[in-house]
Amino acid sequence: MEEGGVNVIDLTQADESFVKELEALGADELRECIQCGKCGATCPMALAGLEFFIKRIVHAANLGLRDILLEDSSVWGCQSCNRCVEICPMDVKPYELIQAIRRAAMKVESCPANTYEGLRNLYRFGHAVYPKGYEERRKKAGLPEKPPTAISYDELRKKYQEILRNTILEEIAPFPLD
Amino acid sequence: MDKTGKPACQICEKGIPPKGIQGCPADAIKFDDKDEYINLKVGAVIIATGFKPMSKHYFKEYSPHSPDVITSMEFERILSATGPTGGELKRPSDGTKPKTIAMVSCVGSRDERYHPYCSKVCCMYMLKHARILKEKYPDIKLYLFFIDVRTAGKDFEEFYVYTRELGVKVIKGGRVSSVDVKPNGKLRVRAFDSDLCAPVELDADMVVLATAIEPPDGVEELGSMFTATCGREGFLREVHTKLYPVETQARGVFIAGCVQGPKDIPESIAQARAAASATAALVIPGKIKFEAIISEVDRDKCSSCGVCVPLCPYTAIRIVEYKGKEKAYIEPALCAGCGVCASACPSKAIKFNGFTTEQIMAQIDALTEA
Amino acid sequence: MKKIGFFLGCNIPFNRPDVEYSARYLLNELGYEIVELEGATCCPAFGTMPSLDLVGWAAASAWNLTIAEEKGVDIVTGCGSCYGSLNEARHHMEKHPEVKEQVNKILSKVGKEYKGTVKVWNFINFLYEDVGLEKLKSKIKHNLNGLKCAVQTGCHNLWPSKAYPTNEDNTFFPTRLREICEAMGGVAPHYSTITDCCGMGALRSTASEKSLNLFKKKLDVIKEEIDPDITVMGCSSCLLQFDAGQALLVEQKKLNYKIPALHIVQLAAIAMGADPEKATVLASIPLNGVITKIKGGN
Repeated sequence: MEEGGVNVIDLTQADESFVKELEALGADELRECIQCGKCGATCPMALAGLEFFIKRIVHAANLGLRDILLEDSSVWGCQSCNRCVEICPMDVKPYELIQAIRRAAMKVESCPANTYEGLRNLYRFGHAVYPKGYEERRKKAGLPEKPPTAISYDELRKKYQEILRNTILEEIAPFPLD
Repeated sequence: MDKTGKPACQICEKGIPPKGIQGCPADAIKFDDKDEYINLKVGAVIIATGFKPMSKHYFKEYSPHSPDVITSMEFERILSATGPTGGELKRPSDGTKPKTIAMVSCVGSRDERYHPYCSKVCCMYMLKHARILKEKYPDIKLYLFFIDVRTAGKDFEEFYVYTRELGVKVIKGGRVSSVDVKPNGKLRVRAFDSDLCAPVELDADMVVLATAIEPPDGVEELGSMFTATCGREGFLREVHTKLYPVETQARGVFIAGCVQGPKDIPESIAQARAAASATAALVIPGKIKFEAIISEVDRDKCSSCGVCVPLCPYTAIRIVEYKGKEKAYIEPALCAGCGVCASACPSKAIKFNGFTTEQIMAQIDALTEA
Repeated sequence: MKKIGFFLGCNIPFNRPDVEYSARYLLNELGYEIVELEGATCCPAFGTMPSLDLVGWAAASAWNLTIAEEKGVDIVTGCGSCYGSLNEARHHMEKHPEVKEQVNKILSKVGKEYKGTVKVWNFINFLYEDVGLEKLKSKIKHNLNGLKCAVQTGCHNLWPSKAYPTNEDNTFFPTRLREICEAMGGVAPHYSTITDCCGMGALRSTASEKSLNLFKKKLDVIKEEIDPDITVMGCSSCLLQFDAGQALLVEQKKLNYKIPALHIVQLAAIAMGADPEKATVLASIPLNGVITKIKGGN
């Protein structure tokens, strides 16, 4: 919410097609939610105090509040812990909704910068997490400088990149895939 | 005695001599009575088995291994003067009196994994338990966790408001997420509070789960003995929700109470009286009117193949002796006129009144003439 | 000699290679032949391909799974996210044959095929089931000597249980990691926030302060309820939060105590005679007292 903004959500701006879009992106049980609240008190996003957390996100999605959900960064703070999926009495699979919203956000390039960084690392090095100075750390632990993963095998890494180029990454990636 | 495995106390027989209490002075009890099977021939049956409360062990997120997490039915016993604690409020684990109790609604109800229906009575009995406790122990802290508070109907909403006035705390939009046992014996309850727009947690001494009302064990087998059928949720099904609420598919078989679905005591009594009236209307005249549209067997044509017998959904067909031979016979009081037997009979010996081949052919002729 | 494919992931080889060292030591001591999964990549992490689409996620996971399939081995991983991502992708492909078909169409471009025969273990279930507590006990050189452990199984090692080949009897009351610590001579009591999220992961990158506050709340409960000598992780992401994250809280003066943190493979490796220096070389919270206590036992 904007600093000093008015705290009213305008339901007439809701977009019913957003519900259908999310259903197509994997949240196919979304409308089954009865807002019982069971996911709301063990969701790490709720416990940590994010503006949106799973119970609120499911409701906002069902209302079709596209702009609010895509502008807010909360969905990118979801831990993928899947506790909501485990306990949901209506089998809404709330976590799959988080992914659906992220997928919708990626299409309109509305995601935090570190998401792109992770994707770029994944494509370039085969590792989403690729921190500097690892060679030194590995030496300290008495291991070879590079692990026997894609980072050590250029040919295999190229094959992996070819796989990624044949996925939706080809359309979405805001960086060159070559 | 057989159930508990303990010897009977025999107080009603011998009394308690040291206290000067006698056994039953009216000599009204037959102590040598034994179980026996009695065969009865009846014109109608009312099935009223009641329900089964769900066990807590399905709900692993609610620490079912803790003795202080109990079901509402068990709590009802703790509150009862004839219960295991003689009506004294005690925690099962250490016998201390709980200072804070959390009550949890919709445990297994409104839940696709177990029972999709609302068990209907839990909201009200949770309020009842809260009221009893609060009137008896004004200092006790009670937190009631609901999804919605369902108190529809005359006097019920008033009961809810009165209970709130006693100081009972109500959390809504908050099906409980978890119950965890702390090393000090407290139970940490976590739920979302829609009114506070925040997750809340509470350290309670006891947690009472309002577990779902379930169909009793074996109800499907019992129903099939009478050719009464169960619905998707496993309760016996009425013929029509509004027009035939106590009738089943099987003629002469009626249902009342929770065997048909979750309901409270006034509703069960109303339904039981309706079932009794329907039974009386059937049995007291001593005569039965048959429907005109039923099937009958031309026993001279019947080849005794028996194909029709297992096909009849109402067990209306029997093989009986006729002119020295075994022939099919349709009990007109049981036949519901579905026509299955008539269409299956290889000898065309079964006539489906109102839908004979001649009648249907005449209808087709009339339709195709134009 | 039993063979096992060791799936490294990212955090273990790059951020905490001392965990990799320990896992290798442990598997050798337990009599396994480690089969290197050459060319393996990120699982992929939940914030990457899984957030783009299902087929892309499954294809990226299948790349890793086929490496093990081709070598005819099952996989063990020390990272909860890898365990979750690989198993969920496997589960999706099993449940939706059309996804598997699309994935294989993509894999065929590099001459690969995903069959669906590989099993993905985490170290908790691997030690508990494939190794077994009795065998584990028999290999101990330094008994944990009553070391009080607070265990952290980690969310991804528990849920979504439908995607996992094996699991706890009650995922909301996990006992396997506790039993493993106790089999090695430690004491591992239950505590009430045992299944709470540590805050590491997407939350940490999106809202760092909130993530650390969430972690602090958990750690405070651990301190208050059981006051352990050490915390023991089933997941490498949790380890980053419990160790480096804790050090950060201390540095920010938000925490006035320190509890050392180790991955279960580190603790087990030390108990089986690994050089504690190498096995824990990258720990931010000092471990001295813990090692002395273990070495004091037999």
